[in-house]
Amino acid sequence: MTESFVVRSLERVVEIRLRGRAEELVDVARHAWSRCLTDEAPDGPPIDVRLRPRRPSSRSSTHVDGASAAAVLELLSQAVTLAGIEHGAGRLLMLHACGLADSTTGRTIVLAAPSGMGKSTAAVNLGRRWGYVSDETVALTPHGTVLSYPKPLSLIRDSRWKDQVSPDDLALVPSPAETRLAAVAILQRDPDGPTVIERVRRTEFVAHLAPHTSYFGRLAEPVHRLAELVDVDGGVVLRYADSEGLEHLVGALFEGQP
Amino acid sequence: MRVVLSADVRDMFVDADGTAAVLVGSRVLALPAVSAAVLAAVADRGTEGADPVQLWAEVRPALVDPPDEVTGQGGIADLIDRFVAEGLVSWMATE
Repeated sequence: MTESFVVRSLERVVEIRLRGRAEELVDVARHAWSRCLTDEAPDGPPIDVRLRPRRPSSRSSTHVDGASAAAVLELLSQAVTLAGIEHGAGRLLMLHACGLADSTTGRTIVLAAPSGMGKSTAAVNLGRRWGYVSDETVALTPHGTVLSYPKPLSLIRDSRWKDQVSPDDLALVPSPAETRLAAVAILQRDPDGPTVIERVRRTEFVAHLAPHTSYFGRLAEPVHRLAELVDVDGGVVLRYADSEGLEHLVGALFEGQP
Repeated sequence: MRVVLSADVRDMFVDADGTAAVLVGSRVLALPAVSAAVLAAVADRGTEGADPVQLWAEVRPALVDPPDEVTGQGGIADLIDRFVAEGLVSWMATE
């Protein structure tokens, strides 16, 4: 027996096939991916998902083996993302970032940061005010369009595996149909530091931003592509102590300050 | 000995202020204006390579405010050494 559903991951349309015991997770998984569900035909290999309690967990862009339901759901999130970024390699500029969009204009702020630096937390807190684009991967086409990827949010709870929570369950604002880049910023959280927007020289900002990309070296003229995202006056670093401060800074960015 | 641009240098963006961001291998380095100008001069020489002694004389006139610490051959040699350590250039033996 196999249960399946289809989601969009950036420019890929991926069929997720839950096999054997994993098919019991189909309703939970489909709900978590509620904002990415699509009626489009899959355009590549499916992801085969299995729940096998006595085997090590593993994943690729075409398979997930999880030893528990929580493992299956987190690894599935990684596998779907991987399928999308592998497909976009060489064409899309893909950032490890949270994305938030103005629901009216589609202008999108991209907040880049390494894992554990608050991307998902920022998406949860700020996605109730601005449209939720992604909590992990934001991709830009060569024409400057931001691709929405409103995946389940990966939230740390008590267990080893992160919970995969539908943005619907968090009452996050839907991303508008068309989104374009307004600004890209790097997040720097410091609980004891000031809340401030800093400008960094464009070339230094590009060097700081490059590690937060996927398949960067596969792009044509990748450094130029990254530099095109950054204002000539320099790149933006948002230094903040808490989510309230970050909301204030992001609000200022949407208003075109500084 | 002459210096040539490393094959690992895949892309170089030079901004209006003369600073640069360079993709070398899988890393992106930010270079100040003098370093960027010297590296660009090396790149312009292609496979022929550049003589370090001549590099500063070639680059200096193009800089608005060239720093004193790189005026001499020793300063250029230090810069080239840093470039070699970063994988930006390599030495090429000459006859």
